[in-house]
Amino acid sequence: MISTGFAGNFSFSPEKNELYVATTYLSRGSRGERIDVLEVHDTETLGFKYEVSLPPKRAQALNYRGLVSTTGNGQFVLVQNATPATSITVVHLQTRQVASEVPTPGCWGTLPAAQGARFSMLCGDGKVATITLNEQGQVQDRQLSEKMFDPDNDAWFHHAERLGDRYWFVSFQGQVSELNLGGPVAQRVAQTALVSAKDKKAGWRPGGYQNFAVDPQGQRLVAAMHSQGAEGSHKRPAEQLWVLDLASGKRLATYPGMGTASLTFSRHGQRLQALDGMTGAMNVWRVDAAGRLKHQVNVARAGEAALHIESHD
Amino acid sequence: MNVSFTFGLDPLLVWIPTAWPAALFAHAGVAKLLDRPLFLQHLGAYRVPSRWLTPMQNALPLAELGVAALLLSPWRALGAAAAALLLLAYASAMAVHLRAGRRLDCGCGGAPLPLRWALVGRNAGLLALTAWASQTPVERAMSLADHAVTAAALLLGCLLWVAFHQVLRQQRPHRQSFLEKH
Repeated sequence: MISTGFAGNFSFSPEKNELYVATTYLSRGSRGERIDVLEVHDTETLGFKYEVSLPPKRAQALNYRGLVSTTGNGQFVLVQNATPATSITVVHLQTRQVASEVPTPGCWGTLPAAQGARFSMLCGDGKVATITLNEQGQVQDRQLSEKMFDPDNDAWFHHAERLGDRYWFVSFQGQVSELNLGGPVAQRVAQTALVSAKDKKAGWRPGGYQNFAVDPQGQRLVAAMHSQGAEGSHKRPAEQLWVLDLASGKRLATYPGMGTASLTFSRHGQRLQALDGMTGAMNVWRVDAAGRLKHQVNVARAGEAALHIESHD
Repeated sequence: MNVSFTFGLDPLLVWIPTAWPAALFAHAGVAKLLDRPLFLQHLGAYRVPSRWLTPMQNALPLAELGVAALLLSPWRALGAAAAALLLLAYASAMAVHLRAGRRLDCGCGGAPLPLRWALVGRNAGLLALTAWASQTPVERAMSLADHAVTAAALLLGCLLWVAFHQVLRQQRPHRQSFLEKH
């Protein structure tokens, strides 16, 4: 077990040998002077390696992947700040120091590119900002995409699934968009509907936190879905899990939702793991070659209000 | 020493309040042109409607540079009026978001700084300055010493400006209680 302090968020190195936890400590426990740090742990031994002091302005938020992330080259860790003005603290891992604070007005969450030191962010006006850092961790380039989504009528969940530079996003009403975030400006690659017109009538919507997962081959998407959804129901745990074929846009199957609020595939894609948002249990399904799910394990009380799940293998 | 009382303003009392906003707008315009994508992001954060984003991204920095130039031209009063308009527009935009409870990055240049009422007050103070800048001073030749005083005042103004924002950045965000907000 690793302590994550107060409302710690985490990310891994590209080799998955290091775990980075951005967290906060108050000198009197629940009050007093605030100290923010990035703590580096070894993922094999779970041992503490070193820490880097951060400006005390990181977002103390529920866990999402984009709140702390590592650049593709493994050189920088990006920490989301909210004072509540938004910016990104760039930590240089070699020098073990903060390299810069990147102002990112109106944008939130870091989505790193596979190569180099580049990341994108979703912005409140429906655009995607892409920021490229130089060797020193300073902003080298900043570009805004065309409007990718309508934040007022059909916002995107902040959770994104990623394979290299391919990123998938799901909207509150169930539009699936694939973007390429490898270049200096974000590009839309594909768009499919997760929810048919008929299901839309019954109010089927995606919901949860880490509320959908894409398998490591990029073929199928599994989403946590609930019916009778409406404005404000976007965090409701799943009534059903829907499996979508990304190439054809067809729904392959539905499974009992088991209260899923967060889910992820194992790295080899043979397991699907989910956190039950109602009971704190973890559920594991075996995934066969055709993408069918077979429920295997239920771990009761796997965490208290755990919302972020990553697979070690 | 011969002290004379007149009803006009000494040129220094016009030149210094002119130099400050001129330097401010020149710097603001150049900074916006040097990082156009960041400025666009700020406009987006201020919820400027999509169709106005690009026109404003182009027009505002030019307007700011124009104001700076006008302030230093014979049409100083016109420059002061335009500066007042811009300051009023920015203060209104900040006030609208503050009233709505949104603490976005103010876009004041440099490290991020969340919106707060002190920044609206700052603009009100600058508005008063532009009123001075629009005045016609009494006839008095500016000596070398006068120019030196203006330059020193400009430098001091820059320092105060930076310090003011730095103090705001260091302040812990005040957490409003639910009752205060509603």
